[in-house]
Amino acid sequence: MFLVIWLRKILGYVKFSARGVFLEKFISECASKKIHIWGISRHDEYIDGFVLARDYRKLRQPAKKNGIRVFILQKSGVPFFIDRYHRRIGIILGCVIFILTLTVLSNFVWSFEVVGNNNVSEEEILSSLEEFGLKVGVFIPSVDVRKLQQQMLLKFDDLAWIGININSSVAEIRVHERIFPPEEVRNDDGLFNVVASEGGQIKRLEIYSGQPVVSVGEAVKAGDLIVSGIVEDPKGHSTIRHARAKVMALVPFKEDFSVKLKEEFTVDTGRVKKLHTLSVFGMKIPLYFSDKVDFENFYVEESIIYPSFLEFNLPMKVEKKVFVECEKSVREISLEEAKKMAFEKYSLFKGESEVNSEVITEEIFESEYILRCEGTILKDIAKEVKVETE
Amino acid sequence: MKKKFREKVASILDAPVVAVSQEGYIELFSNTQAVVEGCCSILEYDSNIIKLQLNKSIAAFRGEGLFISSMNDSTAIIRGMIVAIEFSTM
Repeated sequence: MFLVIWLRKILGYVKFSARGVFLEKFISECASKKIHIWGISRHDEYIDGFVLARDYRKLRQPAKKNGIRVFILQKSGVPFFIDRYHRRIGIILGCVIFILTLTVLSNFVWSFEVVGNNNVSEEEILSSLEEFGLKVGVFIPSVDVRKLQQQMLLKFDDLAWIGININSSVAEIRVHERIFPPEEVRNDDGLFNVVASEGGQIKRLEIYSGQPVVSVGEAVKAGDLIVSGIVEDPKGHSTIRHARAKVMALVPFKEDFSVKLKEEFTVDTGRVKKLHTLSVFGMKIPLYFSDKVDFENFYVEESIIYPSFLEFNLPMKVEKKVFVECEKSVREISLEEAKKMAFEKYSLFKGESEVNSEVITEEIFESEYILRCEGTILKDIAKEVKVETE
Repeated sequence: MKKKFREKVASILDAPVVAVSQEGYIELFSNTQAVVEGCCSILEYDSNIIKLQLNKSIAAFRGEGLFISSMNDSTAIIRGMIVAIEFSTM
C-alpha cells in the first residue's frame, strides 16, 4: 500500500466531486473504461473521489453521458508541484547546481579511514599515501590503487597486506600487519665472545654456549674475556661458536642522587588564547582576526579536529592552537621531602638488581640535598662482542 | 443443482473454483472490508447499502458508513461496518 501511495504521489492525482442523478452509473462506466477511482465517498447529492491526474480528462465522457458535473477539489503530487514552481528558475537552478556539485565532488577523495593497524601508526600510513599521491582532494579516476598498494608494501616492512577501497569519497585503508617469526638462535653467524661490560667479582656463571675462561670467584675488569667463542673438543679440534652466557658479578657502584631544595616550576595563570584554522580543499582559512599573543611566558598546545556529521567525516579539518600563559614560580622543598625523593631516585637506579652492601651518606650543599650511595651490587655483566675473522 | 462445466473441470482437477469460475469472488476481512472481484457495475451506492452487479448475480452490502475505497473495471473494495450481504439473481 505504501508503494501505491508513493506511485500515486509521483504520478499526481486529483480529488474530484461529481454531482448529478446517475452517480452509480457514472462510477460503473468509469470502472468499465479502466479509469481507476479510489476513496469514493457518497454524500447526499454528490460523490467525492480520487483519480490519477492523467485519467481526469477521461472522466469527461462518462460524465457527459450521464448528466454529471465534475469539479476538481484538490490537486496533489509531483506533476502539480513541478507545474507550480517551473517558472521559478532559481529553485531549478539551485537543484541543478546542487546535483552537479554533488556529482563532481563525489569524484574526489575527501576522507580517510585506516583499519587494522596496531604497530604502524595512522599518521605514518596517511603521510606515505600522501607522498605516493593519495591525499585529500585527489581525483579518484587518477588513483592507481594497485600501484599504491605495491608502493606501500615496499615501504613498510611491517605490513603483510594493504587494501585501498575507495567508496564514494571515503578511502578505506585496510592493513594487515606482518607477524614476524621469533628470532632464531643461530650459532653459525660468526665468532662471538662474552666479555665483561664492567669490572667486578664473578659470583655465578650460566654458560649457554662457548668455553669459559674464568671461574666463579675471580675478579674481572671491563673488557676482560669471560666466555670464548672458540671451543676446543677433547681431540684438539677447534670450532667457532656464538658464545652466550649470563655472568652475575658483584660490581662496585658510587652514585650521587641530588634534589634541589628550591624547585623552579611553571604554573598556568588561566589565561589562554585559542586560534582556529579551517583547512578545506587544501586551503587554510584562519578563523581569527589577529594572531598576536599578548603573553610573555606561554606554551603552545596544538591539536587537529576532524568535524563529522552523522558519523561521516567531513572533508575538512580544524587546526587548533592554544596559547596558555604561564609564570615561573619557586617552591621550597622540605628536607624530609627531598630525602624521600632522593631515595626514590636511588631505588629506581637499583631496579631489580640485588644490592650486596651499601653505605649511604647525606649532605646538604648549596641548597641541594645530596644522597651519596656506594657499595656493591649483583648484576649481569655479560656483553656479547663479535670478533672479526678472515 | 447442476454443476457448471468450469466447476466440474475444477473439481476433476482438484483446483480451486475461483481459478476457473467467472462468477464474482468476495473476500471479507472481518466485517470492515470486502474485496469484490468480478463486479460489473454499481447499482446502488449509499452509506447504508452498496449494491454491486456481479457477472450473474447481484450482491448487496448492508451496514453503516459504507464506502468504495477503490474501484477498477473488475474489482471493488468496500470499507465500513458491513452488517449483512444479500445475494439475488437478475
